[in-house]
Amino acid sequence: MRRKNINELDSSFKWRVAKQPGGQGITRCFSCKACTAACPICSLDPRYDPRKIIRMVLLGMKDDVLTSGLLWLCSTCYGCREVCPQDVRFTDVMFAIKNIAAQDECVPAGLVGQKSILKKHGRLYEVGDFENQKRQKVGLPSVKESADDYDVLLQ
Amino acid sequence: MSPQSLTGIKTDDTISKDLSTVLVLGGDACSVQLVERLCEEGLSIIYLGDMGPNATRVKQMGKIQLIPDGFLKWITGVIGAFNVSIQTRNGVQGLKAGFVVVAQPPTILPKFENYGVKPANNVLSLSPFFDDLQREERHSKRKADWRHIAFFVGLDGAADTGTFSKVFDCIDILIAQEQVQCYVFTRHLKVAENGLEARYRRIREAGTLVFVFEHDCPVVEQTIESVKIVFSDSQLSSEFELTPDVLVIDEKLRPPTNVDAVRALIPSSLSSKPYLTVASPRYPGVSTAKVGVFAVGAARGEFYRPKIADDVNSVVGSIKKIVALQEAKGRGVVAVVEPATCTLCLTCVRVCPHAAIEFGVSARVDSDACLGCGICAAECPMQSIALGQRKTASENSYVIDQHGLQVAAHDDRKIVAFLCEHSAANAFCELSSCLKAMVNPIVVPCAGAVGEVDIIQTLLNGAQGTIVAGCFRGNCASVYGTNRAAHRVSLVQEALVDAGLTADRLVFVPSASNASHSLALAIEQLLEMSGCQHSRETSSTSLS
Repeated sequence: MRRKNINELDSSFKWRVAKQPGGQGITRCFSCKACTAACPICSLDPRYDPRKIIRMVLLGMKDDVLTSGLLWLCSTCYGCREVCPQDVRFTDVMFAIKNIAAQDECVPAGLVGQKSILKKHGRLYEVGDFENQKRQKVGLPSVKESADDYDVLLQ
Repeated sequence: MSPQSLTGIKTDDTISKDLSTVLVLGGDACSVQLVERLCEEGLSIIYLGDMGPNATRVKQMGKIQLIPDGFLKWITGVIGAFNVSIQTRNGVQGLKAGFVVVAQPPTILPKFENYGVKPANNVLSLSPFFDDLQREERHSKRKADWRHIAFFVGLDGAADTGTFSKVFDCIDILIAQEQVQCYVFTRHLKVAENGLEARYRRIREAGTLVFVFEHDCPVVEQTIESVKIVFSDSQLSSEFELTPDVLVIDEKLRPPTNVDAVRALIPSSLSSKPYLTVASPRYPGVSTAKVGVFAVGAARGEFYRPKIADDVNSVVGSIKKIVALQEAKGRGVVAVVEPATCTLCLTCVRVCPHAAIEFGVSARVDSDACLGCGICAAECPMQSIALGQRKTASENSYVIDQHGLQVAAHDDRKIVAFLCEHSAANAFCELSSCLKAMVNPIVVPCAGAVGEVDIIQTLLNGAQGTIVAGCFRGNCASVYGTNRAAHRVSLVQEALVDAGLTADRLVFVPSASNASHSLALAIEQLLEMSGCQHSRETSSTSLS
């Protein structure tokens, strides 16, 4: 990896994360690696390492954290939160970082697409006439799509 | 030349003792704390050193004589009667004191060379940086941009809690300012101290980044206007570089160097250099080998400032204890000199680890300074020193204590064991009763009190074997008593071999109160040996 200059990194990034709801615990981390050991994603893809993500945030490596795409691998199993001795609440920290990513428009294109589908149809899979006919055949009521609630939520 | 002119010390036995004056060698805030506590106890103080702005406040607290610009030339005497000579601007001043407390601040040596950097505007050592910060805090200077402050703490492998506490002091001030990012580069996080761990946690939660290096240390590239640190973060295993606005270098904290006069007062403190106190678990805290001389803080190797309050309390407690003991007329067992046979060879003066012996027309043991270890009694070539038990509280006369040698004389079936009361005697109590039954124990105040004559006497009396059991090296309450005992045993062993006898029935066993196995092993070996070599044993006893 190329040598990084800390002066060019964003020292205030960790405080931005800490200000998000759920992100307060980030500075409590003392890198014990318990979260890494408990993480099911990390065992599949070693590039995703909760401890390293925390360290990158603390060092202010904002661009690396937000654009690497690793952020979106979290399965929100809360395993890290269960084992953390310092009460970092890493899953909540991940939500905080994801929120910042959304604010800074660093969300992967697929997720943006999902959002627009959700906004349009109120669910991730469009239910059209074809699906409703199938439902009718097995005696299920037809579904009417309504995205009103999500419109409010996704404002 | 008469002895008096050699020493300038009064030779008669009735020197007047004054236990109400304390000479404090000070120089910083910790010694002021000490003076305050001593004043509360109603003691009068001679304070040598600069008290700074506290002087006017402290002066009103009690009987205090301040000598701000003095230099301690020499100091002699014993507890209650220290003669002090201080060089001041107006000439030499002679004073008397009952106690001496060394409370000088540590010697501070910045580590620029250790890290290969040169001091510059942006490269400072810790103390000046801290002083600047405290001044700056008052008119808090702010910058628009983020400031990066890097601290090097113990990157050369040596750090202490005192240094970390000072670094945290700095960071506490810095994190109160806006837009400051602190970095701590270290090799060992020495924060295992009461309260320090919590402070470490606090500064970390306030955003300070700590980098701990196990093998590869950061490299510093210094140019005239900037300094760049290149390092690898062990957690991300990637390379970083940082150009801090200020690089703060830690300092070595060493004991005060200007205590030679006090060191000369306690010759045995030379073995525990650089500190004045004895590096032994039997001297917890502030006591030195000499009764009435105490070392606080840096002089005893305690650089963590919050703990110096404990040292201060310890000194006050010790002084009160000594005063109480004096009122109860002294210790139980002390060394007593028979002036008629003393030839003034000064062997005792040289060997006394507690510097309790002075001399005039004969050697004179100060009964307050003597700890009753008996090393002088064992070393005296004229046998004119013995340990004595004070007869009554009011009288100043002593019954000579033969430490149970007569008992040994009448029991020839057993092993004789001289047991140091600090360690081996306790270890002996832990032994099984069948082993104990085979041994004739003689408890001595120190293994160093067992002379060659005593050892040979036990063999002459027909003991199956003789054990001299002292403490482990470095654990001796009389600094080097156990070393002397070991040496003496080897001398007797050589003499036995020279005389055509076997030396294996005489052993020196170092032991500790909680380590009876070494003693048990030695006893078992001696028993086994006397069982197999019965014929030789009878022959050697018949020889004697």
